[in-house]
Amino acid sequence: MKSLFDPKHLEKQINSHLDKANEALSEDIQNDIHQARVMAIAQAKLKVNTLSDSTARRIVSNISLRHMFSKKVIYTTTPIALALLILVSYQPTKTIPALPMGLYSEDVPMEDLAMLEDLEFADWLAEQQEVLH
Amino acid sequence: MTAGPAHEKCDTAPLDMDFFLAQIEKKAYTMVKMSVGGHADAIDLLQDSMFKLVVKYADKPAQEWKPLFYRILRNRINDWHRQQKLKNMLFFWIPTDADKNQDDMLVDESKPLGKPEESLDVAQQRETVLNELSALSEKQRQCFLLRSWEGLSVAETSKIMGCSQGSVKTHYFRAANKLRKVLGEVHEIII
Repeated sequence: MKSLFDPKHLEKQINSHLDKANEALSEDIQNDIHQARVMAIAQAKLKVNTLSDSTARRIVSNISLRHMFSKKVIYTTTPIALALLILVSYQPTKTIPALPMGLYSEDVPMEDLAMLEDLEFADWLAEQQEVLH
Repeated sequence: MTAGPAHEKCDTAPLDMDFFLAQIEKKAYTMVKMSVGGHADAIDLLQDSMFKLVVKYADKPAQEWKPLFYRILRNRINDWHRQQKLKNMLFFWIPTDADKNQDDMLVDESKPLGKPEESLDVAQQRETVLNELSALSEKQRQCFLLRSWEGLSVAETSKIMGCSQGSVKTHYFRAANKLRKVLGEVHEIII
């Protein structure tokens, strides 16, 4: 009672048997399968949450400790910090005192200048007389 | 064979991962059970595969979940077989899990196979089909079930099984031929 080989027909028959076998699975087996799914999803959610927490913690610790005290950072920042410190604390001993602000803003009257010249001349004459005596 | 039943699959994407897993869990269980034999091992592998899918691939498009899930499942089954092989080599005097599982095969003869109104002949045919599927080689069975029962394409099946599309066609053809021969001879099923 054989006919030509038709894979579609064979598939259909076997699929039908498999589907019916699945429908006939016992309650216990169905419960176990259901439990497996529920457990898998619950564990996966837990794992995902744990992973995200640990990732966040790792990022924070990387920034705060490992990153801050890495050799690269220390080698770069230490010379800069020292240079800044020296620059700030350095005060030259021979400094030219700044001109009073009045000199910048106020015009010196011509009478005062003439008087200054007279005083300088009188001072020079006194010095000359001392030299001669 | 290239077109296959893959193109018959519904286009509606599963709503979420839980819904998707609920859709395929029984078929996946049956496939694992045929491979490993024992119920407990099958449930463990199923749960492990579901867990990995949710953790690793939940963000992938829903259309990719099915091939990814069966790929994970297949890898888990292969790992299980490797472990059994190693266990057999190390503890050769102890009966293996696979031997124990032989008593716990898919068809439990102590239980009725189907509904009471179902004819004895149909029930026997189903028993034969399940036994013959279990008797196929691992690759032939996986290939046949993925192609015909799950409706995956040749390309998807080849990705899942990690072999060429030509190998998938060969495995499928050999499996179909064996089943046709056995079922035709024993039950005179017209195929």
